[in-house]
Amino acid sequence: MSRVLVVDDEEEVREAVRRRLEREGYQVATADSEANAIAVLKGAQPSFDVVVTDMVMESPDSGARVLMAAVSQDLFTEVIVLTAYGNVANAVECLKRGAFDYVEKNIPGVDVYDLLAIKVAQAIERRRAAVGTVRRLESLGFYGRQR
Amino acid sequence: MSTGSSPSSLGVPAAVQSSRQTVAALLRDAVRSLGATRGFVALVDRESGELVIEFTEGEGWTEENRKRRLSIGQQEGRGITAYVAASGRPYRTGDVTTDPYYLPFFDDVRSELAAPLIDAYGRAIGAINIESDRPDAFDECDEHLLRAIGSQAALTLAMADYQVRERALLEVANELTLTANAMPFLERVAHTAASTLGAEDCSIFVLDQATGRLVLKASRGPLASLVGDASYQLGSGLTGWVAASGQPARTGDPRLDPRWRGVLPEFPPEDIGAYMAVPINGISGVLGVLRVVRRRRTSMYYHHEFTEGDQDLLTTLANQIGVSLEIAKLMERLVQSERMAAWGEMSARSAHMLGNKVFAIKGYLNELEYVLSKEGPITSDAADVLAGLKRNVFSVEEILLEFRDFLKATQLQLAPLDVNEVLSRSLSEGVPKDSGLRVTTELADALPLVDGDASKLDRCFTELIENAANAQPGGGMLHVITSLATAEDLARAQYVGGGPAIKIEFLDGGTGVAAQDKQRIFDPFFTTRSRGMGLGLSIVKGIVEAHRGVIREVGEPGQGAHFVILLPAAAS
Repeated sequence: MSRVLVVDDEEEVREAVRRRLEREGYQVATADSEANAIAVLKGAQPSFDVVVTDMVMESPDSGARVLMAAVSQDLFTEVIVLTAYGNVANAVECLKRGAFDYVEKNIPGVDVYDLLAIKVAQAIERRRAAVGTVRRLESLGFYGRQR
Repeated sequence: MSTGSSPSSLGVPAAVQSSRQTVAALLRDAVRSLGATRGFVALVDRESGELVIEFTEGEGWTEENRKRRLSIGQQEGRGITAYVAASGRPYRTGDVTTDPYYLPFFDDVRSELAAPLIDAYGRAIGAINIESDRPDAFDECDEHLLRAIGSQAALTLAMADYQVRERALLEVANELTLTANAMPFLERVAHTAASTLGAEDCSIFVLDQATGRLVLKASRGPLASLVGDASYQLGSGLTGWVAASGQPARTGDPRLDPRWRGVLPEFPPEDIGAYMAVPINGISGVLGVLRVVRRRRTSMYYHHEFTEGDQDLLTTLANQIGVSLEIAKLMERLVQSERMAAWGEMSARSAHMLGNKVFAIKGYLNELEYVLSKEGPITSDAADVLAGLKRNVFSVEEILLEFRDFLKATQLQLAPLDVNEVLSRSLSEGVPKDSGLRVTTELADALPLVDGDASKLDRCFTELIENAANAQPGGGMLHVITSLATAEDLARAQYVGGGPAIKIEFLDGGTGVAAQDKQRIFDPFFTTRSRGMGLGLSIVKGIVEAHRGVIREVGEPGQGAHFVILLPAAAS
């Protein structure tokens, strides 16, 4: 079962996202701040497959810090950033640092939860593919070879 | 004994009091040194225009005969004093019994000598008169001496008058304060101008830029009850001409002036003795007119015309009014921008929180739909309710988007840019495909650059393009013009800042903007449409003002909207 961490300082948002992703069959954990998220990520065993994090929490680049923590724990953890409208610049910065994608919270006429569910599924797919590739490369002896 | 009495000195400035003492002393010296029996000084009264004995010297004077002496002469148009005051020339007689001008008053008089008091403008403001019980008491030498004493007295009185004016100006200047309400100051100046210049009416007209009318804002005199109501069209009548031309007007009889229309008569036209109006200048043009009017007196001694000195005083007062009006404008703008900044910060937080809540609501809605569908097919009633909920959540989100746009409109990334380039891009990309809007342009060459935010200005122009499209649902026209703003453009827009500005105009063929809506269309939440929040034009205004520019709608209602934007050119 894929594991997803949902990070947002609004309890209602965490709950709504958790419910939607649990419906998809994921095992969902939550964190209510950048600091807590980083702590949860560090102690996670095994690591999370996907992290869905709000962009602005304690600071305007909280999302970027959560991203760094997730990736430094497990290079293949995929991160999706939730942004408020008009905060695309920060989201793009996250993409440059390796985030899987971003989702704007308030897009009129779009069911963002369905969109988020699709993105999470795609992120898990990519992680699986990346991990699979690495395993194959390992089995072929490309990695871990001693010089 | 000296009986150099004067009216009550209560409330009379020290300068006036000491000048009166000097004149009394001059009279005393004249009587003594010329060996006269008695003497007096008569001055033209500012209220009545009549000659009034103000100072006396020698035996036999009573309150009653002081009053009687001149009134007799003035009624009959005779009398030596009356002649001297009216003609401005001295008069000497050695034998009053045979003199046609002499009106017998004191029994013992045989000789009389009188000299005029001449002011700086060569006008007689009174006379000094001495008499003797000896025949041929005064010779030509005495006459020269009395003329010199008369000049000295006139000079003393003029000095006192200057000091009164100086004090009035100082008091006015001291009352000029940093306030958003200039009206009490205007009242104060109207009072000062009327009393210092001896005018029965002083009125202050302020130009209403929206209507082009000069509205009466303060008045001392017959027009006081019309404050706020009475107005002139800019350029109409003599007062309107002063505002339109920026030139002063000063005349004894405005009826003889071809520009005069008699729109707001303080008095019946034939009763106007003198008229003077000066423009009230602001940073970028005429803000109004300060005007004084004197009622005509039926006196041959009274000089109705305002002098150059009077005009200097009025101009100084008008300049102070100009400063007070500019201060009021700037204060209002400051208060407004502070309020907007505080409001903006609070709004940004609210919008963020609302956005999160709405996001959560959408999540629960999604969940509800899922939960219902698990129980079996969703009934059409439930589907309708769900659709309604979604529709409204989405429209809340639309409002939030517009709202955040509005908040972000004023956060600029400035760089020198060519307005024509930005405008061309907006026009090529911003015209809605299915709008049927025909766009024509008239873009001036070689316009100065503007320190601006290209994306914000693009947003501003795009809003105006959409506004034109919305105003003409079946398709229509949009004409866009750029030019270098003229001085008149700057004045019309009450453009504060100085320096050159770029003028950008958007004209459409829609129904235009009703007169009562011209200001309000730029207010947040004002809309004549049903969709959206009505922030479009307030965003436009926010962007323009963040660029230190101004925007107005100046079209004729019913004949299409005409937006005029002025943006300051970048310092070269």
